[in-house]
Amino acid sequence: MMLLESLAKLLRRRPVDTSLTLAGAAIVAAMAFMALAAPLIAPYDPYVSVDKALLPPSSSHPMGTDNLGRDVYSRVIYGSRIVLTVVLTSTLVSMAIGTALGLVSGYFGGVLDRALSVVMDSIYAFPGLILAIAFAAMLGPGVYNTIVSISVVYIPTYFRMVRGQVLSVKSSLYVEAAKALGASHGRIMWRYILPNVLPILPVIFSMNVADAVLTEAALSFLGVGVPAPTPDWGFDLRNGQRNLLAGYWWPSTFPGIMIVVLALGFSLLGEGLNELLNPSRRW
Amino acid sequence: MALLEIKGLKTYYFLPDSVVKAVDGVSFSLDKGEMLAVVGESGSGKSTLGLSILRLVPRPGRIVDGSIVFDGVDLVKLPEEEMCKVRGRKIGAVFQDPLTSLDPLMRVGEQLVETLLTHFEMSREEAEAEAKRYLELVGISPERFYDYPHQFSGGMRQRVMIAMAVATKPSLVIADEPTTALDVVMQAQIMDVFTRLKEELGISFILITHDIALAVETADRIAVMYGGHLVELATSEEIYKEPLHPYTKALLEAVPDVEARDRKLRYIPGNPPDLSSPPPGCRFHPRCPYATEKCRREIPPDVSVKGRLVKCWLYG
Amino acid sequence: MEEILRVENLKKYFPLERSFIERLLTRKRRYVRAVDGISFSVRRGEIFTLAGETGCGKTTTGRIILRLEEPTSGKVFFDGTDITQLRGEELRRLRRRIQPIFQDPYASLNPRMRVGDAIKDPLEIHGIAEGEEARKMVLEMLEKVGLTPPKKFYNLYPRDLSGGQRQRVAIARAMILRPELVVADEPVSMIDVSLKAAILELMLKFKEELGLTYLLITHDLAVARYVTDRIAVMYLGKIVEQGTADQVFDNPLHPYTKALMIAIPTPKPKRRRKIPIRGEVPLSPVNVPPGCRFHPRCPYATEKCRREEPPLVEVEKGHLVACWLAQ
Repeated sequence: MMLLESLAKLLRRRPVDTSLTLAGAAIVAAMAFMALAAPLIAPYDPYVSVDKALLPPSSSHPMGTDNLGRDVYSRVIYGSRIVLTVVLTSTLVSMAIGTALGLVSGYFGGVLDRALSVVMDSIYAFPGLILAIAFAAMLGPGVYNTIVSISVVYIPTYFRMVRGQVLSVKSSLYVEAAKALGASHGRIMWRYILPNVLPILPVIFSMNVADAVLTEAALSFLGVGVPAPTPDWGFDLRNGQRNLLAGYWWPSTFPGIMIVVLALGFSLLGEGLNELLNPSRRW
Repeated sequence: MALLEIKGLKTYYFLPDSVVKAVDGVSFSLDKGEMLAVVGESGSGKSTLGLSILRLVPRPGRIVDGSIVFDGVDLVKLPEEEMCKVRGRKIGAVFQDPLTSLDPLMRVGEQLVETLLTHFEMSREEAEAEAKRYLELVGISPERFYDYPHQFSGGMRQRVMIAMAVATKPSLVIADEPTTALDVVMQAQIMDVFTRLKEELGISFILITHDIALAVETADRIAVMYGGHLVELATSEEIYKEPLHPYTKALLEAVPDVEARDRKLRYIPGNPPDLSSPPPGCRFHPRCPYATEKCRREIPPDVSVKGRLVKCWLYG
Repeated sequence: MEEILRVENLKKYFPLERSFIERLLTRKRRYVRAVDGISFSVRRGEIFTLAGETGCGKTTTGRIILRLEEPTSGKVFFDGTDITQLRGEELRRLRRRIQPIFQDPYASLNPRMRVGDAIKDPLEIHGIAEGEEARKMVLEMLEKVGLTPPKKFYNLYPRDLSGGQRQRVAIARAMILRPELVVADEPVSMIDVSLKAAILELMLKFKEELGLTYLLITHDLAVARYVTDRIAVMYLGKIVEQGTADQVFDNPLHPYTKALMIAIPTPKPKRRRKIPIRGEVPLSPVNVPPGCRFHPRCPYATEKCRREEPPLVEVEKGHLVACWLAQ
């Protein structure tokens, strides 16, 4: 309800902001559709060779074929499934774990808080990609392992943001009032603190997903992410790279574009949501 | 000639889905050496009035109509660069929260000196001496020239603000809720400072406040605002002895008096008006015990009664 | 009349943050002595005011009584029990009997909770009612506090209400538990002048109906005058004068109380008041002067005042003062 009201207000406001947000939303929606409808819209099976290798884009293969004769277009469409699944799942997992830990840590403080903060800060201090690669290398390739690797990287982000919010909300008068009413810790966290912390999440989530798209692509590119022959943009990027110098640009370029577009889409959406939920007072 | 003459001032805020008519046709004048209190509650438009005179109305608000003639010049029509010379120099301002108005990294005396050097041609020594004089004038010992704002309490900081406001020798000072954040003893002392400055330096004051008791005690004249309108204008004596407008009457009855215990405290039923869609006719009619059909339909004119101004159908 | 609340030699000191150098050089800590040994009692059914300016310790005292703050030392007895020792389930049951009304109606309500849910929460917390039954009770309460039509207000969020309306919600939330003692910290200072009386009337109405006792905490003596039975004036963490409303307001004995009475604006034109005190309240009650706390500002201070702290002594029945000159 609140979201719809805010949306209506936003639409009446700054056309530039609004159009960028809508562009982001459109991209994400298109990708989601592509992922869901893959079996219906992809002309070929992405796993099998359907034609000669390295055919340039044509009417039967709008994006050409790769070095194994697979239709790039179909691989790109099916790739969106993997990418979206991995990326959304890992971000959701990060969000759930990071938020829960941040909530508890911020609320109770003390030793628990100090210990968790140290752990989280240490993880946060690592460049995300390096950490993800380290985990992926440890766990080995595979979709589930990739999800785990990426999740770990983003948990501290949620932890820190949520903990920060919790600290400020914790000292507000309505939380004191709840305490005075006799509410238990759990009740205060669940009904009084968490709802006031949630507004910041959608924005972080969006931005995170954008980042995760790139991380996932990188992992697969390096061979420690989603393994062959699963269609995946990062993987295909690497796969096509061999033949790039020889002039076969299409097996790498199209997946590459998709990575960029999806990351962009989530970024725009995140920025737009930020304006929506936390409007900056710039009259 | 009056120092300040405001005619038909209208200041509106243009929000995405509504227009807030904060000041909707206000006129009054102020003489040299006079203290006028603008009294009103939330939704009265009193703060916007002060900001309008200073031409500091934040966007999306702006002055849409009327004139503010100060010392012969209409401030509404003045270009911004000219207004800058007036603001801070000929018209000083003291706002509610001295905490955020002072630079925490600069010594207090230094801030005063800066103000002086900005507006006057004088040497640094001269400015420092002047600054110390002004500190003394507002009741701060000149040794504190070298202290930082955080070393002062709220009341002292506010006095520093007053010193800064009057150091430029303005003819008018606008004080918006200058004592609301302060203790009652501090408040009395600051009002004292204002009165002394008024009497010794001939500075005129516009005191914007919600506290009618304070206004009656300190000010020469009182302008009562309600819903963006000026509903009554009279001397504090007249307001106290014989309030004409029903709102003024009700306001006086709502003020608890520490000396009169058994007086029944009254309140005004209803809520302050929504300035983006004010009630038709007289803005006060939904809460007025004397409201008639005419009050509900037409905005009352400004009526002159015994040399005072009332905006009410009961008198016109 | 029986005693419902008794505070005995209550102290609350807040440790000051020490700079790195200080930490290295000395083990001594400095404290803000917010509440420095106060004792008073409140009778069941009365309105007792703790009055004073910012920094005098009245708000901290209120928070200790509400168990939102732990005292450094001293005891608080509620209905005979030392509540500073209560924990867990006992504490929760106590909370039902002592409820707050806070100053800021904008901050004391959860912005993400509907009005109806906010008022229903206490019922669920204490297992008094649930579901439909609870909802009915809330609607009745909304009616009682003047937020009608109740069904409409039930579903609104705090941001849809005005300050006065929010304060009514806060009152409803406190009263629905039928407490015995209500600690009201500046309940009307953020309410418009023309509406203050309405909120005060509402509070008095509940007092009648539920047989409440109020501990009113305020700096606005005019408001206190209007409602209170007895009053204690605080300065820098100590009570300097205490008595019935008539005693303290009509015959203030402590120089600080006298100055407060003079300083309060009353709508009488052109009253030039001579405030018989100098300077102002120190920035924080850290470096408390020796002797009487008030002596640096007192126009009547004597040598004894500068050296010895005057005790709170009864000078007429029920009227206590802490001043060498009044004794």
